[in-house]
Amino acid sequence: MIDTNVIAPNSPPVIEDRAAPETPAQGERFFLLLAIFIGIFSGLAVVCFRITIDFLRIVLLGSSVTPTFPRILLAPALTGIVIALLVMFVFPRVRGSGVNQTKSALYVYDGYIPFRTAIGKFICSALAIGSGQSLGPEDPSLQIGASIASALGRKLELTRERLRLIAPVGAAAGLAAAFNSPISAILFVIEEVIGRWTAGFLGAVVLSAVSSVVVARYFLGSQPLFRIPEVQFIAPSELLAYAALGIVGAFASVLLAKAIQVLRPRMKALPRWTQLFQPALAGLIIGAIALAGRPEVMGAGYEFIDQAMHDQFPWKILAILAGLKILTTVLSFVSGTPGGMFAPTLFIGAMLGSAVGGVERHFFPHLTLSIGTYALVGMGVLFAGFLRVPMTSVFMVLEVSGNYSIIVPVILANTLSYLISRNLQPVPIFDLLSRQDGLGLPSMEEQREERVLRVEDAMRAVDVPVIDSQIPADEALEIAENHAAAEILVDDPPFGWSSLTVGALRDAVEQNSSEPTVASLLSEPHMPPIYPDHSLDFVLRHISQWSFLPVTHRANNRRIVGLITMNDVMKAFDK
Amino acid sequence: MKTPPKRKWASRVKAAKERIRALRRPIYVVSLSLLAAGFFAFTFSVNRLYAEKRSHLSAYWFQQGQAELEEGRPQNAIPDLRTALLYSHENSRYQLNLARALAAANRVPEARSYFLNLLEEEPGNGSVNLELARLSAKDNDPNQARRYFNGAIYGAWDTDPILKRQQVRQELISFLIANDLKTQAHGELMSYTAEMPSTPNAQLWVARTFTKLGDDRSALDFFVAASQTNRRDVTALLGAGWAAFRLGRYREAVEYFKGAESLHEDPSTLQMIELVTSVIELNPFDSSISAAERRHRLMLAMGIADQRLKTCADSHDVDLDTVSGDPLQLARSQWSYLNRQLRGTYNNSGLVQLLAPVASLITNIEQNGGCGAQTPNDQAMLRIYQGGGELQR
Repeated sequence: MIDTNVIAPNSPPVIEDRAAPETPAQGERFFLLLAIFIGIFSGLAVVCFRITIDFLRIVLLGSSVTPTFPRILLAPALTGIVIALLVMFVFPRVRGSGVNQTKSALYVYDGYIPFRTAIGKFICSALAIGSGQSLGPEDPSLQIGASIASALGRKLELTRERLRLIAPVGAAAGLAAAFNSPISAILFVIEEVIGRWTAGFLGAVVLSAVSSVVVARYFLGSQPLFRIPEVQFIAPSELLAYAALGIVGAFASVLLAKAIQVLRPRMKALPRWTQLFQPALAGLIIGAIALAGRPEVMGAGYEFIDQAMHDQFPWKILAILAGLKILTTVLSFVSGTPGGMFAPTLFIGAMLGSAVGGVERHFFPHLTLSIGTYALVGMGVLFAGFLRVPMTSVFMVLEVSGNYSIIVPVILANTLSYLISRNLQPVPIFDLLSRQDGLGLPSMEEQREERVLRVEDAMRAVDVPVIDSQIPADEALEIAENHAAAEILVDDPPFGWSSLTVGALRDAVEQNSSEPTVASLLSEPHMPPIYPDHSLDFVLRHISQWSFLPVTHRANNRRIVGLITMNDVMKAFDK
Repeated sequence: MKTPPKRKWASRVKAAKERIRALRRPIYVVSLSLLAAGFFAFTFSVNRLYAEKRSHLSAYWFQQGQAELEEGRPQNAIPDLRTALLYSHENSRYQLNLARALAAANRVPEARSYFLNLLEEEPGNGSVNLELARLSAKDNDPNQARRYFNGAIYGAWDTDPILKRQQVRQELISFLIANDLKTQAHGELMSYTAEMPSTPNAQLWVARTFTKLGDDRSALDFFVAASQTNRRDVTALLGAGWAAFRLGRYREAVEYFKGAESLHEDPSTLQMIELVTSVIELNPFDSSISAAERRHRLMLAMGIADQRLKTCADSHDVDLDTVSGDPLQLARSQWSYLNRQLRGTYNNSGLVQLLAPVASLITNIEQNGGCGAQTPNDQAMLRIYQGGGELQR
């Protein structure tokens, strides 16, 4: 069943370019200034969002870190019904995490995200996380930031192109404020939302992310979401344990993704009235698990990540917590409860990492000193395996820990997790969700790994006469006629390469009594330099004026390694 | 040609629109700034209200946890203190108390991680160093414990830093003694004496600790100092008496014991006075006595040893007059030999030469554990002759 209602606005807006003519530099400057404002607004919104979540948690579950009966059982269940009512009748587009909604704004709706979505996401996600649903505030913050940016962009009459880009700018700001990590937020948006970057866009994203983090830190303090213990990487032999962590993390990632893949469409296929009770049922199960002795699975769980990092759980409990968090996150997410998957991913990763560290310490006590290091690496592993953002996963761990000494285990474990997960679950989670929602959003992973066709894949051997521009035209004509060529390639140093048809050459020889050189017959401009590693897209942009282009050596522009024609390009694409 | 008024008006409107359009970007920026200021003020108010709520909750839960901790229920205190920290992440006092609760609940790794975090934030914090020292002591890691104890001694303390440092050094010394690191403990104790308060209690503690370390000379000095600071301190006088007694300064010892007895009558003190008096009267090592007196005391000692030997022989059913290799018979033959030597020696130098073999024999006989309870005379003999052999001034 296709549910475009989750993401798509009811009536896609028609956005006109109403902006007054302005120079590109003026537009660029205003866009960068606007990015700062977007960062400030997103930062403030995320601060309010965090406060609301905390406040609702106190109201719904009580102020103690360990909620007591009956709140622990009833709060998530009853709040689940309220959330379902809001999602079904007031804010139908706030289901899910928010990442795909931001992507759809970029690729489908010209940057349009209704501001109502931001309000709905704010209220529903705060209720869900505050009542103990196993979801996190980061992805909703991302969407809130994107919605604010989109609203501002529309009000300020940005051009269509800029309006498209402004949602990711806001997304980066929202995520950076929620995560208190600007680099990870920027990388995530580039890696997962937009998939490419230009200098102008990167500048805007950086400015918005930094300004939002400054605002968030002003209000919430500069400390990270969890205290970072002393991280250590002792011996190369420890890499075996990190490799094991990468493998375990990959399987956990696949389990989480498969569970969502299987259960989400089934839950959505149930009669509509059941959607009213799905979040409540998920909440009830989570409450029951908490009541049975594991309240750690409720909410985002940052305080428990902190405890795991500081070696405060035995490894068996850590493994149980990781398993239970997978279960509760799947339940919360597939029930349609609005909320993010970043925090649960970090939670599962931290628990798995600490568990692996604990097992290693149990069997090889001389090898492991810091369980916190394993927890940190574990978080990166799940990020790489489940969210499939390998670069972000590495930088996230480094940025959060502020320690580059663990880069080797982080890269090893994350790469293993990413590769195994990609093999076992070929479709990344965000692409999976967009496909389930009937949207053909571009897959950033596919884009990253798509094979780029290059000139060397299409070029052919030089089959036209190559002539020096300083020789007389009649001599050049004779060479051309000897080769039975219709066109010649002319080497015209220092200006580059050009070509001349035999007809033009013959006309010049016949009409001129004096003996002209080939150089005097050449027209401007000369051919653009084409190298074997250029993409075929690059060739396509230049080849229309020429019947062929010479492919030259990068070290010596006068050395020809082949020729390329439009026909060659087309053949290469057809292969 | 004159422009019609309608067209003129239209052109003015158009010009005004153009002017507004040209100014739209600055207007946007001003509007956004005002909007941001408004949003900021709103968030500031909300945050302040919430901060007050958090502050109230953190104080409440801290009090709960603190009460549980003080009542000896660290397990109950832990969730309360964790909740307090949830609302006040960076409060090092809460962290310290939570860590203390974890340590008290024997959750050492968790406690250590909190203490280490606190130490990372404030490496010179005396309290944190002390707690880590205690955890390391629990873990039987004397090197680490000493490192943290020293961190605590030279660290910063919020209140009474001098007193706290003295207490930490006392704890370190006790820890070193418990781990049989007596040389290090002696060094620390010497450092402590340089900064200790001149109170009888402190002086008594130092004196007792010197005693534990086998430094009776220093112990005596501090027992005497304590008794001088408080002239009615029986413990100090008794301590001084014992220290002097162990040092062989019997006359001083008997004075201290008598001083203690005059303040607090006690049969054991009386026994000590008798013993020391006996020691003084029987001590042949006293350089101030005459040769005749020395000979007399040695003869008395030989007599007491003979008595002890006979008691031993009777209890073990050994005939001392025959020789069959029994240790008692061997001792008896030695005794007979030395007794003959003693009877034939009258000059002081000859008697001084006999002191060492007599001391060796008497110690051997009196130390025999299988010969029943020692009489006060036996105890005095052992005290005098054990390790003896040279004249005492």
